[in-house]
Amino acid sequence: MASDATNTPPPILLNLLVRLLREAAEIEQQLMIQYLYAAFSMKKRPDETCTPAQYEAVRRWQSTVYMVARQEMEHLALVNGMLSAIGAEPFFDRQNIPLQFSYYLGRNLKEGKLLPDQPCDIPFLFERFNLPVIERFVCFESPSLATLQASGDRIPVWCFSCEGQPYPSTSAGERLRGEARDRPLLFPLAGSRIPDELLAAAQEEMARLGGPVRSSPSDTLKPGTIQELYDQVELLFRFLSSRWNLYTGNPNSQVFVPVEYQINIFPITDLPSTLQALRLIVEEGEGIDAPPDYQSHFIRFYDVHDQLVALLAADPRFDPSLPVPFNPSGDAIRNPFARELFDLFNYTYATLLFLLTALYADFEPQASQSYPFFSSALQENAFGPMMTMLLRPLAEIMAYTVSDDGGHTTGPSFELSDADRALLNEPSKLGNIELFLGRLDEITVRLGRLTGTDLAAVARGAGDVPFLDRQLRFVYESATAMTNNMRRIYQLGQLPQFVVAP
Amino acid sequence: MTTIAKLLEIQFQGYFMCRIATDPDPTNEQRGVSGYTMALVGEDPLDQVIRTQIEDPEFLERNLRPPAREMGIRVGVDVNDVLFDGQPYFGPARDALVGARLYLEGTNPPFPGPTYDSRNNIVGSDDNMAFVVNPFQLALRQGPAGDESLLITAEDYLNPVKPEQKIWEIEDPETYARRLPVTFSSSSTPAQAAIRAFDGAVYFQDRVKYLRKLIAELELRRAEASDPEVITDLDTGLAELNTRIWQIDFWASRIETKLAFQLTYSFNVNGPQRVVDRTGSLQGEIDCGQPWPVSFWFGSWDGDLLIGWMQGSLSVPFRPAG
Repeated sequence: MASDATNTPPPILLNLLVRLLREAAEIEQQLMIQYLYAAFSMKKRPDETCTPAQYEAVRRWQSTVYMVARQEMEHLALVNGMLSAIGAEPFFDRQNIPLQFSYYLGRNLKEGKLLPDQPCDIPFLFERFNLPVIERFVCFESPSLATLQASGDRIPVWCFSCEGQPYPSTSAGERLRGEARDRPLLFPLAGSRIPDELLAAAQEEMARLGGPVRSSPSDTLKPGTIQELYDQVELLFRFLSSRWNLYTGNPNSQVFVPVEYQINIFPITDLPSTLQALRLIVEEGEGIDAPPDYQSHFIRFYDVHDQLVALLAADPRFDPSLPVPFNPSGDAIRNPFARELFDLFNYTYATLLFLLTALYADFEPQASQSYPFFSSALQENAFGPMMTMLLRPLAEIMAYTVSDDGGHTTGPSFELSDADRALLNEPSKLGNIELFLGRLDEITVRLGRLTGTDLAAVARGAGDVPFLDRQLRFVYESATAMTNNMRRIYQLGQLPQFVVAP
Repeated sequence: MTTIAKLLEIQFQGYFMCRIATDPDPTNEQRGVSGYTMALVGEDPLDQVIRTQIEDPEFLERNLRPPAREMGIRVGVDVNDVLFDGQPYFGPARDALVGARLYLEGTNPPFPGPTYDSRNNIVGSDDNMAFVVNPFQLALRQGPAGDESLLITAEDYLNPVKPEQKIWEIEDPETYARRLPVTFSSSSTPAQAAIRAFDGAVYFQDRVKYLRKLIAELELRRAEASDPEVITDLDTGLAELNTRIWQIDFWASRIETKLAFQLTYSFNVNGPQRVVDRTGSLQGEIDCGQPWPVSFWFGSWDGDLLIGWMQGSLSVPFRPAG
């Protein structure tokens, strides 16, 4: 069948592809924020349970975890590039953690990865960096047992068996029937973005059209694991683009970020670029089909794990992280300063997601813009300073601030309110510079108020006061300047003064 | 007397140190985590300060990493030549100025000295190497610190209308655009030639070999040590060396390519200019009323040693005596 502009893919299959991509986008974001939480918790200097030599290891691990988190941001961006390429709306929505995704249920892992034993569930949690956390991260990124056996790589046995592990091993059926309710450390099952009715209809449509069926144990379109999720995405891209005009998005609206800091966000405009993006995602994560000794997330996390095990064996007192809470909740925080930081972080994080959603919804390359320069105003904040100059410093301040909950400092929950989530699913409501300037103004005002706090009363220790004071003032200054920049860029375009001629 | 037209071009060059945090670390990061630069655990925190002179031997001892000394590196930007009216000059002013030390002074709170200001693309651009040297208070000093026989200072304001204004308070970057680099090269031959390093990959391969040699030496000493304090110190030293190798390996080309970077600045100083010539060594008159042109570049950046090269000139209207 010839491809032309009116030759649109079957709606059911297109709908399924969009939903699969949304699911992938959510997973990438969920992984990213768990990695960030662990990185935020890691110590920033030696102390009584972290010698100078141990601190050097902590620093390297923190750098690694931040790098992997950056690449999860890249994956999130690439998946949104795929959505944009097929004319779909961007997707930066997320359910709030703690959660249990079906892809990481013991039963699904056993079936999807053809394991002899049923492993434990791998929940999505916020937890300070420690051995169980890095073990969980290794499992998130692990290739299948068969792949590891074939390659001769190290095998993280804890990912493939439930023996001695803290979490239960369940199936979706058990959970839905309530059979697993009494097991400890059971977290709510995440909602799926792929309704069973849609899957059934898509399955039928695929069979009717003579499309390829997935070679899985159950031969359904329902992905059981993350690898199957991406396999399914690839299959649908290949099939739909082979017969219909799938790439209906504006190719000039692809967000592009120059390669830097191990982030590679490139335009997705056709099947080859889609396949490159999909390959990059699985290569960076699991190291599938990567060159020998490729430093995948799996390998990097496994190295961190082994180093941590060695250091703990040599010194059981060693503690690489600050006592931020397990799955933080605003209700548990008794310290008003910490609570305001906690709320402000979530507000700022939601603002970043709104920025990204609006940017991807209507991206325009800088060179082709004229007033109003809305897209540039968003882009200049979204990919840099929002994360490095606001969110991360705020989280690091929190990690050294007592929460008065009985022993913890403070950690962010990245919580999205119902209103936030509704807005994220209506990108058309985000196309207004006033909304963003208003939110940045509010961030600045709230930071300004916080700088007047008696920090000695909220710091983890007296020695942390200068750090908190310096950080807080700097974040306030940065927020002030970012607000000014957004307004000016909206009016005038990318600030020409910051482009230096070669 | 007519206005002085001819310029005495005071040329300077040398190594500077900058213990700078790099993107994607926040710019006030004090240890260095996600960027390619870091303060090792036994060193002072990163403070972003551009140091063209280091006169505190203890600071140098803590922060000048090996093999800087073995490479003959001395941190110090000094006057190396003087031209007059565009020609080589051999008058008394040359003797008075050659060897004078160049300082960048002032502070950029919370940093205790001048910094490359960008704040991760907020007041400049890390992506485009558009950094403001903030503040800009240049001083040339000849003779012992505090008892200089010759002192020349030149201060430039980001916003001459409001000199006290901080860069993050300035709404229009056009106000300080003249203080941003006029050109940037990522493959500068002068930058490579200044430190005789033309292949970044080989340069850092050699560095890693050297660091591995140091590790082997420390491991030998550790195996023979019995004093717990000595063992702790050796463990720290080993961890620091491993971090340096790890950073070079982790960032690879991002570190290697910086050796060939060159950022050039050029502007006419808009603030106070002053000359104190206590012994009359210049034997001539400098006009402090005209804006002095200053032009210089930073580059040849070794992100492991946190050291780079600075070179340039300050031109002052000058009339020799007689």
